[in-house]
Amino acid sequence: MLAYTRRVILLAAVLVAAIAAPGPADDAGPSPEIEALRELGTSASLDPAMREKVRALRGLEEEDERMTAAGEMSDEERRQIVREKRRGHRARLRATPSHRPRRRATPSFEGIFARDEVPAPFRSSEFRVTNFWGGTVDRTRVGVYAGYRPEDPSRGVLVVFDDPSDVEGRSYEMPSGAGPAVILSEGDGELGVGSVAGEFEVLEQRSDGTSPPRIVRTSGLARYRFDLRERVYR
Amino acid sequence: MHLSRGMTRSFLRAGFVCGMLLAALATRAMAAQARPPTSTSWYVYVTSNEANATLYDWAYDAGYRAGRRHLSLAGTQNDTVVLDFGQPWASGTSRGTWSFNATYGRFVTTGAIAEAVKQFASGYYRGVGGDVQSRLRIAVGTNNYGRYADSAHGRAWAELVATIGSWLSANPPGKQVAVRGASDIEIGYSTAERASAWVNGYASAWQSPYLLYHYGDAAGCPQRGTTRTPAACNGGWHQDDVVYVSWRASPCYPLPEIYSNAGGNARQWQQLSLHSYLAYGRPMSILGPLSQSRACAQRGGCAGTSNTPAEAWSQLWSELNADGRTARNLSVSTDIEWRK
Repeated sequence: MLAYTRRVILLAAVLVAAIAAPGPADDAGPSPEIEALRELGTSASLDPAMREKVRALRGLEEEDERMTAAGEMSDEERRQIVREKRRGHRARLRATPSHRPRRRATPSFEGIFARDEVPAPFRSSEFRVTNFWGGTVDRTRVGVYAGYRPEDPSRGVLVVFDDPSDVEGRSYEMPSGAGPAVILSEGDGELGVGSVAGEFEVLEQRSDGTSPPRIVRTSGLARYRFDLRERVYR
Repeated sequence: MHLSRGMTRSFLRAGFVCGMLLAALATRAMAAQARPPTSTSWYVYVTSNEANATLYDWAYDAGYRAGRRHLSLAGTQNDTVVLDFGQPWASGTSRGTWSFNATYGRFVTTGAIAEAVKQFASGYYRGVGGDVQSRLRIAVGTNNYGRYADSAHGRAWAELVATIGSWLSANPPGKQVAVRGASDIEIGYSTAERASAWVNGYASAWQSPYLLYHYGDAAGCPQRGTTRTPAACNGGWHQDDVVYVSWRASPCYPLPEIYSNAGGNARQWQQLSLHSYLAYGRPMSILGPLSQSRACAQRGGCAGTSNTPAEAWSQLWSELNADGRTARNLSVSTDIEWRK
């Protein structure tokens, strides 16, 4: 009886596993937007914005038909396409030129620039820019962003880029918490750095987002000099 | 009717197995939808001393690798990748993007972006080889940071995407590759008005099928308690503003950043979809999550925002499907990394 029960349980377990396991990938099928719009289009009461959205369905279906038709081919046609793809790939590899660096690099941003005048490589949840200084230190191009991390606007931070392969930069927190950093002056391998007085919204990644954003008030009273060679505040 | 002991046992056995099958089916109906293979999206960082030809070669190789990967997977793929070219920029009458940092990045024109995307598409088409049915959508991305993120730039972006689309329609890669516009619209990058102006610029010039994917954030938006009255998010934005630039503007579809390890981003987007339902009668059609685990690994980690693709998928799917008003399946899983 025990052996019989075991067999039944085993059979049931195998069936459950077979049903619960994800199946093989489906055919490419229509794009996800088509499914969404078809579903939307069946609704009796659509507001003007959604009616406008549904109008895109025709163009999406035409694109889908074009791609589906291309995928439905005979074996011979398929072999021909694959041969063409291989030929095209080989030709592309042969055509690869030798890459020399651009003779003249884009003029970099040299001097002090306000936030809106300068590009910045940060996610808004990582760093907020106040301003920027760009220049040359010991024949190395250096860019310095001043600002703050949105989870703590009271602490000014400088982020230094001096290597083209570095996508993050290196961060230097101001010694005192008087507000976001701002670059005030440049000269002799140093930057004059201050902090900004004001009210700043705090981004709290771990909050449940139901209470109004917390605001911090900063004094803006800190003043330092940042040594661009030693990377220290004085 | 008298049943023999053997028949009774057979009935009991059959009943037990049927019961288990029904239980399994019910479990499956409630189980999380299987995640599709995760694609690799890219921050396409171009340094100031790189020629455009170097960018094009990288794009071809990256597309080729994406194609080879599809070829190696069982079944037919239907995938999306985002190529993020950086923030809107202009030089004279020429529009494009600035490729990330001010010191070592550079201006990339819309012409160079178009060529890079064509190369990516060509690489994919050839890389996928004998798999003639898998498909790839390339979403050409920028963001809402800086003074050039305006209506005119949005319009130029729609024209860029349409140009690539026309080329695809007329060339072999278009048999397996489609193009979309995209923008990493972040609350901390601009006011809601400026972000909407860019989206409206895109909407004024777009044509189907060149939709606009929103792969941005919802910083500070509520994670519970949503009603039909839009609640405040950070930076003066409201839920309505995020719903507009990600869904209610005609070309827009949300492909949101689901970075938070604690699940906050998934909750915010479920609540945005719920707000759309309560205020307008329809939830948003969220395509799927964008995660950044590879970019985080390249940058030495991201405190609290390093969801793996599996975590991002599971969080978003679970939140959306925990409420019948926002329940839906997802179709896209993509993880972004830096081109270095």
